[in-house]
Amino acid sequence: MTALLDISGLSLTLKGRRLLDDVRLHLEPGKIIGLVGASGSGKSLTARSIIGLPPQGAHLTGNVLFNGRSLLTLSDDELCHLRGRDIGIVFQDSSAAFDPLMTIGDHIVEPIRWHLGLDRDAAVVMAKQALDRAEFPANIDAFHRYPHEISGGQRQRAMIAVAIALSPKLLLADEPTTALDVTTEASIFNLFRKLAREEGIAIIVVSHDLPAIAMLSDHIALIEAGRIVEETTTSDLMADAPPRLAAIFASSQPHDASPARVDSDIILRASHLSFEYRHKKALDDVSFSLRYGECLGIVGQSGSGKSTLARIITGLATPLGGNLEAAKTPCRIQMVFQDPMGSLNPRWTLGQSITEPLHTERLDPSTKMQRVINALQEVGLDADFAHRYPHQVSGGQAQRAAIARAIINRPDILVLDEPVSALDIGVRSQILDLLDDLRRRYGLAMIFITHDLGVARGIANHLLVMQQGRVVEEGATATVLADPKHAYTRALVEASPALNHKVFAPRPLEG
Amino acid sequence: MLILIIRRLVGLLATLAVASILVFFLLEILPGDPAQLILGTDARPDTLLALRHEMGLDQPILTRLLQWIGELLTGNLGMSHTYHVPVATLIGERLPVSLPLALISLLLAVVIGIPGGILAAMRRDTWLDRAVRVKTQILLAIPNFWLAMLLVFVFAITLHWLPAGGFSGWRNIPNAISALILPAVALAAPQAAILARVTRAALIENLDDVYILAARARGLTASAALFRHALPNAMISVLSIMGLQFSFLLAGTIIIENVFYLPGLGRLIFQAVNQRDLAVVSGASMLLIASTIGITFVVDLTALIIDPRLRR
Amino acid sequence: MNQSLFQTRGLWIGAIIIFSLLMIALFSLLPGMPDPTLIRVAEKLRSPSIEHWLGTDQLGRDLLGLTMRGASASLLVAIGAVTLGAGIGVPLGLMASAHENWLSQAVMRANDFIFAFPALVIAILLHDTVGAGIQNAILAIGIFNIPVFARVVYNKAQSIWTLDFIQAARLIGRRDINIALLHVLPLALGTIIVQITIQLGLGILAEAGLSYVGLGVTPPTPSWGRMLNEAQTLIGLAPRLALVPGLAIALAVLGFTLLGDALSEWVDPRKRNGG
Repeated sequence: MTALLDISGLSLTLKGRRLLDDVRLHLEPGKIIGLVGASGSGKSLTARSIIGLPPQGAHLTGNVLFNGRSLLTLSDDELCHLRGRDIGIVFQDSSAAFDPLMTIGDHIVEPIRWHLGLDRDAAVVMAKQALDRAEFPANIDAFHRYPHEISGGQRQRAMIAVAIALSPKLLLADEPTTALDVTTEASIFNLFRKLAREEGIAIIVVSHDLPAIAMLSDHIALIEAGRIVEETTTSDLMADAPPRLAAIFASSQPHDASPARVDSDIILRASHLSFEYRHKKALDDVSFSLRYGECLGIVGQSGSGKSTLARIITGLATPLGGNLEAAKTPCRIQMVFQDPMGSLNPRWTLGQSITEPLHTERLDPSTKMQRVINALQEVGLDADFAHRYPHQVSGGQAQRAAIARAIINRPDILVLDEPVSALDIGVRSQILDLLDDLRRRYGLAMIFITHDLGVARGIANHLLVMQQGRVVEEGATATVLADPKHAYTRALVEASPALNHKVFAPRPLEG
Repeated sequence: MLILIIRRLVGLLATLAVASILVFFLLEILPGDPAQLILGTDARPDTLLALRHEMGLDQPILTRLLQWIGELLTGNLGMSHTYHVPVATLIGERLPVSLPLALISLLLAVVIGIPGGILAAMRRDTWLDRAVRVKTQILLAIPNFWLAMLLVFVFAITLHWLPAGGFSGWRNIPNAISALILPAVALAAPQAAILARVTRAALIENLDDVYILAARARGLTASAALFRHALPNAMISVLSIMGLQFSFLLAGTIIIENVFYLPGLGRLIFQAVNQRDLAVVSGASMLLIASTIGITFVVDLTALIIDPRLRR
Repeated sequence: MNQSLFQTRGLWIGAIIIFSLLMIALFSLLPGMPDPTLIRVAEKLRSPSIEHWLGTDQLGRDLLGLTMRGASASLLVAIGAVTLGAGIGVPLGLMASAHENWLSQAVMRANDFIFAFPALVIAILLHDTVGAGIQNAILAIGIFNIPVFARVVYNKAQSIWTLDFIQAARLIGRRDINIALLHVLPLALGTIIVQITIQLGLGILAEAGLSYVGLGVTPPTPSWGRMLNEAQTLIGLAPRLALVPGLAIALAVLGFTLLGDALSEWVDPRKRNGG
């Protein structure tokens, strides 16, 4: 089959910096290629360059051949004919990609009428067909809804419907499932595979999540600093992967969590907690107990109530019913948040943020500095990080600083709300290892909240699986994952990319 | 949806009520005896008493407050002690000058300001954009009454194209319009500048959003994306600014009518302040305030109709 | 982050204008300076000369001296009004944004209520209670400034309060007022400073308007607005009497606007070139 898309020597310069360097890609109809890279690697720029919408002031050179036509030489008007018709694109942030004043239906009708010139009734028919092809649930009248009225997963499907309405030959998907739950992600992947197989659409999926890509694509290309550094087929990834991809893959498989301490005391007991929000039960009869030196993983998708539970445990919200008892007073609870950049004051140095919990103690500057250095050491950062600002460090480093702030006063309980979800895959296992280490060393009681079972496996001793405010399954992590009893847990296990590749690296023995 | 409208309406009425109470008390605190003001310093005590009784000044405050509100609602704004004519009548005579003036200014400001802002946003960072920005900055720094004086100097005194002031009624329409042109321009100029800046800023903010990129990705040309998507969204913020600006426009008429000797509401207030004619001051101020509140209500309502996100 | 700020031409022009204004105002108040309010009818309406660089007005007063003194009046009113407005408005906005409850809603409602009263109307209403003069001007403009600052701070602070490091500070045991002062205020400072420059410019305009209608600074204190009023009837005879104070007002306001514009682009840099 002749290549549908043939990119060679694609380079992009913006303000004197080379952001894309000699990118090569090759795609045939009906095939899916995954473009994997960390944030800032240039993967999104590649997608935007293909459709001729690079950032303002960018200079593109090279060759992008689409069905034999050289896209970089076309005028903007000619490219307008291709966009939305022969090439469709799905964006990452579905909440921002829609005009808030137009219904979903209007978004699909618009390109149909723009390209084909049909009257409104005929266009509406085509648009509704597009929603069907995107497997939009039939019970929701998406056509007449506004973007803010539907959920994130539904919006993503709506974006796909818009992109495929005119049966494009090529579909570009930029981080299409990064903001979605694991089960929704799995169904979107199924949709992509169906579109590729049944409609012959070639798809480029851009993402930083290698295991997810591996579940979906036929080929994988790794992009680093604007260059394609490695390529492979998915089957080769398992068996005989090129070195960098192999390393990234391995680091995306976290080790099992260290065992909990035996015979330690219970520090927290929750019985029959309930909470209501806007007449819906956010929490319904939730009970658990937590011991020192143990990590309890609370797993659930959005709407499961896990964030509400976190707020109740930390005291930022009061339960409507039920009891939350701590074994000692005062019980010190600290929290680590999902977005490390948002959890640190951007105008404060890391050192200032880390020592904020010490504000009640009157420390002289040198003692304070010593405490900061100690705290940084504990989380694996050099002393000079104390003077850096959040925007000067990476996401992983910022999260380490946030952890240092949380444990500087040796809390009894540490609550972590999706602490690694915003980090690149490669960094996640490092942070999980750090947390695991801290728990063992200081006997912290930890509550780890996540939507990702693969991550939970790497940190939690006990699992609490939640769905719509209720606990549907609980037990030791290994047991729950190996033999899930509840249908929902089973669905989660099957949908989790990290759990599905059966590459379990046992924890290296202490030497 | 209906509930939201009713809520806004209740808010409107509540604001009006509070505003009127506030105005009442403000005028209440002023030192001096209104009756004495009218009759002069060497009036006899019993005449003073009689007048005070007639004006109802010897009643308890609450009664007077309720009376005041009642009168407002029935359109009775009291009696002007300078002209010995009901305030409502006075206002009625002046409205045919002030209202058209305000409307013409608004029209001018919108017709010049908004397209100016759109143009500047479309040609962002070009000489055109910079020219628009500089001109608006200058227009905003100029007091509108100074602009008025300059306009009079150039167009009336030097060129003799337009009258320097005065208004002779609507019977001669071309004359009436020519009398209102310079004042309207002076009033409209800063408003147009503000509208241009706000339109430009709102448009640029929207143009940088992802949904415009998404519209381009659907195949729309850059100008189609701007006019079909960015502009309607930008207009929402512009609309709320327009509502705020209207109160400045109304306040501006007070000064401008003085510069041009127009027999309008603004000049009435100004003269009343100097003559200490309380009834006129309070009545006319209430009218200004009420129209500002009313305009805000209309703007809110329009936003409700246009923006589906507000209808939750 | 700071480099682009100091390269903006507007910043420098604005800063120079304001600095000059300040110097002129202070200079004119020095004890040794000749009193421009002295009426010498014999010297009325003289053209510019060595003795009077800008000539004299209809009462024989030195135009340049009057204009310089007017600067101090305008600045005083503008600064006073901004101090009043920000002094009350900023804490109001900060505390109202801390918690989304009925109290903060009520406060912001009351706040927006004042918007219905343009400064001029407030001045008119206050005129009979407070009397004309500099206090009236400062009060009227200042009162109108309060909701402006409260609203601006409230809008900016709202997004800050929801950030995670605020929750972290609450968990550590900090009280809201400490969080407001240590975390929220510094982050909102840029926006507040920009608004201050804007309101200073608007304050000068407002003071001119008030003085023009006689509600502002009372004679004999010179005021640009009143000078314009007096120049109105003489505009055919001596246009410079209207030109000079008007230009002064325009320049002063322009200085603040330019400064405010440059600052606001620094505070909230929009990436013009996409991402």
